[in-house]
Amino acid sequence: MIVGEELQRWLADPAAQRRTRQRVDAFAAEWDSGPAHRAIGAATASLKTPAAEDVAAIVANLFADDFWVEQLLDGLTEALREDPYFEPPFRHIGSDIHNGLVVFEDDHVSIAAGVTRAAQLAAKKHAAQGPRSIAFSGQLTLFKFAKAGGARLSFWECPPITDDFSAATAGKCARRGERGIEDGAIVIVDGRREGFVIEHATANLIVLQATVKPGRAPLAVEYDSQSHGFVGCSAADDSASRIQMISTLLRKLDCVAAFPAIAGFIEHPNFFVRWHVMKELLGLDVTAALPHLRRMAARDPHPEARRAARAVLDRIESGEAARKAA
Amino acid sequence: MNNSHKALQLDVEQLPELATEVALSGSAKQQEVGGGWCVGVAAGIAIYASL
Repeated sequence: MIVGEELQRWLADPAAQRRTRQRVDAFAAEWDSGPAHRAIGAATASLKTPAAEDVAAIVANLFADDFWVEQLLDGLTEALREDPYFEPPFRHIGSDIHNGLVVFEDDHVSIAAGVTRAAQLAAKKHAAQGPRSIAFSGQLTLFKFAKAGGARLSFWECPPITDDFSAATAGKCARRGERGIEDGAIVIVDGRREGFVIEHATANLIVLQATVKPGRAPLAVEYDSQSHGFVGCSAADDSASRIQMISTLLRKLDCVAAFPAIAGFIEHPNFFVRWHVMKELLGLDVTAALPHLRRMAARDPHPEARRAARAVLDRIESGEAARKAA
Repeated sequence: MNNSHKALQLDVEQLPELATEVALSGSAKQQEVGGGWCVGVAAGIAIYASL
């Protein structure tokens, strides 16, 4: 790496680095107490257990009057002009065609501002090889296309992604139309049954994206872009994946003391978490896990979890019977 | 806690999987036709929001 003289001076100057840090902290403090936070905070404070649609209505109002985005961008530009080493106090998200910053998040919603690069999108579509998917995120999402980049979106629908989702009944997705997007357009996509594809764009898109947290489906689901058939699914909420990974780790460490903590997730709302946790409990202590297994086999809301639990229960009971007979 | 867990053991790897295989959050089997935008970005938000 070649380091320029200016950067060398900054790296050798702890006081300059402290000043940069202070600017970042001051910017964050000002943003956190600014109009966007106040507007969302005041609106959501009045909702005790908001539904996804309640949160979406609040965000739609915030998106309709997006003076705060302009203020944010002006503030960032000014800060960078004053100090080239200033780093925006926001977490970065991105993919191969999109880069953004998470500028707001609370228990109800996450809002990101980002740029989708038309050139990369075109290159990716041009180079496309092999099967591709149409994605359904499982979450109600609002998009404000501050700059729509001449984009055309196609809209898709799939069977609702619910708590009793199964691959066997996932069905197919279907195209529900296509339209051009104007600058300033707000598009609401209920990722629990709706998705979209950017078919074409002539310039970069500048997009605000609000992901609503309440009422999210357990899964994000993929359908094949050619056959429209089910391809696969993943957890919509990363906390579900974390529970799975940590419970596996604890079982592999033979941490029997963690049994009660892991058992605390046996009633988790996501069927795949319940079964995963059940397996780890069985791996830790079969005898202690048996009551949970019997309950799951008898009355888990998801048929696949009931079936799997029943199969293991039969295996255990037939083994016990064989031992007694011997 | 029951101390008999060592007496009766099951190999977790041999236990049945659900017919519906669910991957970790943010992962995908195929690339998105729209360019890795919808789920990728939404999942990114979800992951960062919970850190």
